[in-house]
Amino acid sequence: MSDVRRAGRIVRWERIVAKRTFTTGSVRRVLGFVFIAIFFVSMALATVAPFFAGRESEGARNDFLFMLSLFGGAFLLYMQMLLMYNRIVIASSELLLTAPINGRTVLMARVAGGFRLSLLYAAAGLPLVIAYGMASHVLAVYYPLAVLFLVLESVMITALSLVIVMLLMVVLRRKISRDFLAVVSSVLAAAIFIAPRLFAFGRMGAAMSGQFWQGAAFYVLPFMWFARGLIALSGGAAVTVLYAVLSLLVTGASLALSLWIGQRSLHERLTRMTDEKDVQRRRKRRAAPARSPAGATLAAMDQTHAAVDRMQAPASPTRATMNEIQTAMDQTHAPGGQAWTTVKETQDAENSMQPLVSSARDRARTRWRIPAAVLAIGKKDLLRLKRTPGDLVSYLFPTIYLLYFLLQPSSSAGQSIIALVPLFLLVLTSTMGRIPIASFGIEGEQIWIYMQSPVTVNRLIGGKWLYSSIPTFLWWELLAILLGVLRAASHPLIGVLMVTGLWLVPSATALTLPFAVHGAAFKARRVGQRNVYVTRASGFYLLVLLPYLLVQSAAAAVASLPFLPLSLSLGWLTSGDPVWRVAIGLGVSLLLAVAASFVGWSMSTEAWRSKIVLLLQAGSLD
Amino acid sequence: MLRAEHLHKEFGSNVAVDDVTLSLREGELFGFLGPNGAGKTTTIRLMTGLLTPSSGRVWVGDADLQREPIAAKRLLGYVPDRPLVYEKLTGREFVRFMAALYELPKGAEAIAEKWFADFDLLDAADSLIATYSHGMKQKISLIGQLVHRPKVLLLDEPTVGLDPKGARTLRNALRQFCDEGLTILISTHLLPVAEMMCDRVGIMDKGRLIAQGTIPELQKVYQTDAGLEDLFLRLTDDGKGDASDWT
Repeated sequence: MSDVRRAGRIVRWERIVAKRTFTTGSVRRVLGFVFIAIFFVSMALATVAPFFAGRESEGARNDFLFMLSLFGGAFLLYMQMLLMYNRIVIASSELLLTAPINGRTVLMARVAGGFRLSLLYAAAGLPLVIAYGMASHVLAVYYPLAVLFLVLESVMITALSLVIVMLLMVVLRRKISRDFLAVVSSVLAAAIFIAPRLFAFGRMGAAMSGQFWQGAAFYVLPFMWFARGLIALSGGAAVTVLYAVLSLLVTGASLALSLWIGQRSLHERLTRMTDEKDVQRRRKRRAAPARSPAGATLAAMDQTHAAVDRMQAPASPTRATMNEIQTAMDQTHAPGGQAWTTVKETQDAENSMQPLVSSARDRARTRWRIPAAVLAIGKKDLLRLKRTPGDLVSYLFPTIYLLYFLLQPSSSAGQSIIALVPLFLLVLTSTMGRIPIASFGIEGEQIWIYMQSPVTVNRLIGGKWLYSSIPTFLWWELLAILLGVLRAASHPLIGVLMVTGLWLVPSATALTLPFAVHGAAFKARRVGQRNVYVTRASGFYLLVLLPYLLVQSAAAAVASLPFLPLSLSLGWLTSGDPVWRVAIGLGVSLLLAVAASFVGWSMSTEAWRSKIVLLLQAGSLD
Repeated sequence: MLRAEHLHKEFGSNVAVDDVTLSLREGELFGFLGPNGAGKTTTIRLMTGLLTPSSGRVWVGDADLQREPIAAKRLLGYVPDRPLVYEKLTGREFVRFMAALYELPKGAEAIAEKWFADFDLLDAADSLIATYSHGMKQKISLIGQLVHRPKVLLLDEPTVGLDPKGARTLRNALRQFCDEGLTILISTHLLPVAEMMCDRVGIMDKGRLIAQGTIPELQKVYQTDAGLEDLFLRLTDDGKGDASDWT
């Protein structure tokens, strides 16, 4: 039997398994359809708006097309690299590897799904193709040819991502972690997107002319071929055929190279990588700082003393209680088996001090202090995020995308900036949902830890809120500072942006959390399998967050209009005292944020209560 | 210290736990035995508040688990068969995190240093839990549950994945904790271990607690001199659970 047929059989079996694993009811299917429709409408808004903003200028249109071609290509490469990695390395191949199947067959079976997904990504580019055709007044024959060309380019980029992952596997003599690959792929994609811009940095200040991308250096970039082919096609030129042939050649060569590498080394690499996990674990353990048990115990005892000292200070306990503590602490130094009893007594004594915290100031301090459980949950999740660069780099793309637009030459500001608002909103919405939406799902089956411990709903939600707000808040502030540093915005506008972030980010996070709870996939993390944090249900947060940010942007616009380089006449919004406009704008924005936070918090607690009722009844996480 | 009365749990038409009543004294080590699928884990989950019973009540100390879950959970510790740990935290960070969840005063987790040493985890205490073996994760999960000084500790197959030394350390530690007043319920398939270390045992089969007591008590009730293994096999064998058949 040929490798292709074997691979086909594996794919069919895996599809059956997947179908039974991810079952969806009819209601969910309808909701999914609605969601996909909204996603495509948003994408259409984001890509079509700039075309209509610059519809009078062919140069501006072409520049935007080149930019989107480059960005879309870089983004697709990034996504497909991660996907290919998941399919080739992460997905459990142990069963296949025990069978008499060669690496080439395993590889073909694994990558088949990746190519299917590239068609989905191609579909996201359809509005762009249509909008460009309409703005350029092309013949009807343009549309089907352009769609075919779009599919071909998506498949080519998928093949390129496959060959890069395979080369990395062969070249690197170590196990590739998902985090490492996420960093590599995002840096690569960012370089693809930014580098052409940097090469022509001298022209940054010039108005878009349509000539910017015509330099010889850019012809070799496959990510530009889509734009070149489309522009040529709109003019009826046969150059598109050349790019189509080139794309086919690159796709074929990439696939052949990948399969050749796979045939030679995939089986061996995957087997070796499984062994390396054990080796790495042993190595890391050896590298851990050795501590002498005695030293550690002494240090621990010091900490206990310190803790008791801290307890003593504000509460001013009675002499008798202090003596009990001291006695217990003395006993703590008793050897061996008494440690449990003595420390228990110490803590019993500490607990007995609680009623002594009685002064009004102490009560107020206790009331307004963030509970330890909230801080612990937030800190734990932040540590996880810090140690998972793969999740952290997800901020990179939106940042680059926003900066790219915000750093446009001033001559293209004004009306086109207004036209880009839907696009900005889409990027902001997606970014603000990134961390919060997975905040509950990342717990996996460890969610039982919260359910078996005395953590109240409010503290759990509070911890997640804290964790989810901090990274996005820092991202927001950094973006504002970058804008200021790069002189793309006036300082008062930066000030308005930074201040607004104080309440905009936490309130947007609060609105996202109910969807995070509802869509959390509390599944056991399995070694050798891709972790799923959220179900598709969580994606509906866009339906709430997008309108919220739209309303907020209206309020923020009132505050920021005096600082924008616009000469629009919008009635009282652009006339009158700017100080009042700023105050009113910020005030309305703050009120909206308070209301959104309250609604988000209430919905989150309700969603969590429903979730735990389900979990407590079913006792299962799956 | 831990009381369960007429616990009953149904999943659809399947009765997982049927009218289980048991009571554990302070400082007692109770062995929970039964064949696979007997309902041991479900019963333990009902007694830790991780499952809602279809009917029946559970008290931990004086706290009703259904009505005062927070108060009851402060007194409980539970180590499941699959360790619940965060792989992106180090061992020490995990213990600190657990201490904070129970809102212990800062520094209270220092008590864990002794257990790090006892369980041979000192060298790995500052390494990410992701690098731990299954047995090490089991140990750190146990330490995480001990740090808040529970009054009742429930362990579901705790020796699975532990090396012989780790298993012995755990057995000794559990016995010592009981001597110091901690109440422990341990679910296990290792009958010789249960016979050796438990004060009393309970045997579950098909969702029902079919026998409970000390081993001499069970031998007396069922009028046999057989050891725990024979008792267990006869009680859980279909249709032979009736003591009258044995005499």
